[in-house]
Amino acid sequence: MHLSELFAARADPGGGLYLSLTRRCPLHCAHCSTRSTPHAEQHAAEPFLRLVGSFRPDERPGIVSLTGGEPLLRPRLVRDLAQLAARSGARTAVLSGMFFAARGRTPAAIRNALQPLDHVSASIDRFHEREVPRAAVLDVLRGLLDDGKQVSVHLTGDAADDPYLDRAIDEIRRALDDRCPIYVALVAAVGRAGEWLGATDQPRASVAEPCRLASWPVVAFDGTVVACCSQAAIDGPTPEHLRLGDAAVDEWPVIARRARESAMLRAIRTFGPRWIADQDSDGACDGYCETCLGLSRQPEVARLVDERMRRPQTALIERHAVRARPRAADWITPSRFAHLLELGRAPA
Amino acid sequence: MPDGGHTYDPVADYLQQTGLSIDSLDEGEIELLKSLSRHEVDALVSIDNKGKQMQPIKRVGAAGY
Repeated sequence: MHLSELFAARADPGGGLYLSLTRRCPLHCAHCSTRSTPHAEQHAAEPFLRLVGSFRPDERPGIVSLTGGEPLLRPRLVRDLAQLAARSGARTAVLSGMFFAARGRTPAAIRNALQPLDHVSASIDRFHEREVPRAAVLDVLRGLLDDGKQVSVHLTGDAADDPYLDRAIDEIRRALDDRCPIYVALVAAVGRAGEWLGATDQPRASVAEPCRLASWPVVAFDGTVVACCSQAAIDGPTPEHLRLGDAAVDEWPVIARRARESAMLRAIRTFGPRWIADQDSDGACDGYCETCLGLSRQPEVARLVDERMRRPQTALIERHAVRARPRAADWITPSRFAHLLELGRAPA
Repeated sequence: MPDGGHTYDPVADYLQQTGLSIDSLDEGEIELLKSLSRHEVDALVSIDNKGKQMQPIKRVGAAGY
């Protein structure tokens, strides 16, 4: 599976599923969005296996994305989930900091975990590079590419014009012969980075701002299934309208139906939380996600939104919002790096 | 639909804001448009101009995507 396929499906409600396999990570990155540490919490394997085991060929996410923390700290679970997902036709990707690369060899358990995966993505940025040399990560990726595995680099910089990004891109492209797509992102004031990086200004649009993150459910570190991959929603307390269930109890068809059909989630994907708060509540607060997290505080809002989403004329607006969902390249900001998403893609 | 003491025409407002002609809408869409409030027409127009609205908002997912 090429990275662009993952992004092409990214806005499809229930089209994918994130599994946060562990909050633990042996690295100590100062920008970590999940504030991972070597001894952080880690949920039992059973709820993840149970949920993926409930996939059916006719009712499954297209893509399962294994994240953390460092998901490859649980190599057996990664392998079992990938094999289980594949039985239903779902494809599996992992995002790793490649902690093992620093030792110059890939342990057998991790090699076995990577084998059934459809995509392997490695994080490279100046924080990871303090503990895992870039050249070591590229060596691992080169070996995987040579074995026919689809891989990518998740490259993070400080700003669109950060010279680190251009230098790293040059080296990655050269070292991997342009066979490896690169997803370029910028550090945001989320998690540990929020302690030292100023919050990004979020200019308020006066009109609808459809949410792009309330699409793929996330199984959080405690097994809660959250409708949105905003870190604030995952860290909890998760508001009622973003809580889709519990991986230990609910099966995928139920989770997927809630993700697709919930009136509040459809409204969030159509209008965005600030528009909803302006129309059906006592107004938006400063932040986009902050406003969303507050929508459950007034029970009346859910009823009003439910009424709004039942109206035939709202269906017209919802159809337009579905048509306006981002394409793969639209996810890449700064957009000057969007073409790197297509590296290594076989001609159609 | 009355709006602020004036008669609000959602279809005309939508066409004016988008630059589209009436021919670009089918009958069903026109009927639905007629019952939208001014706020809803503004929302619809902004959705149609999606890139301008979504780009400045910085949001980061748990998985970095």
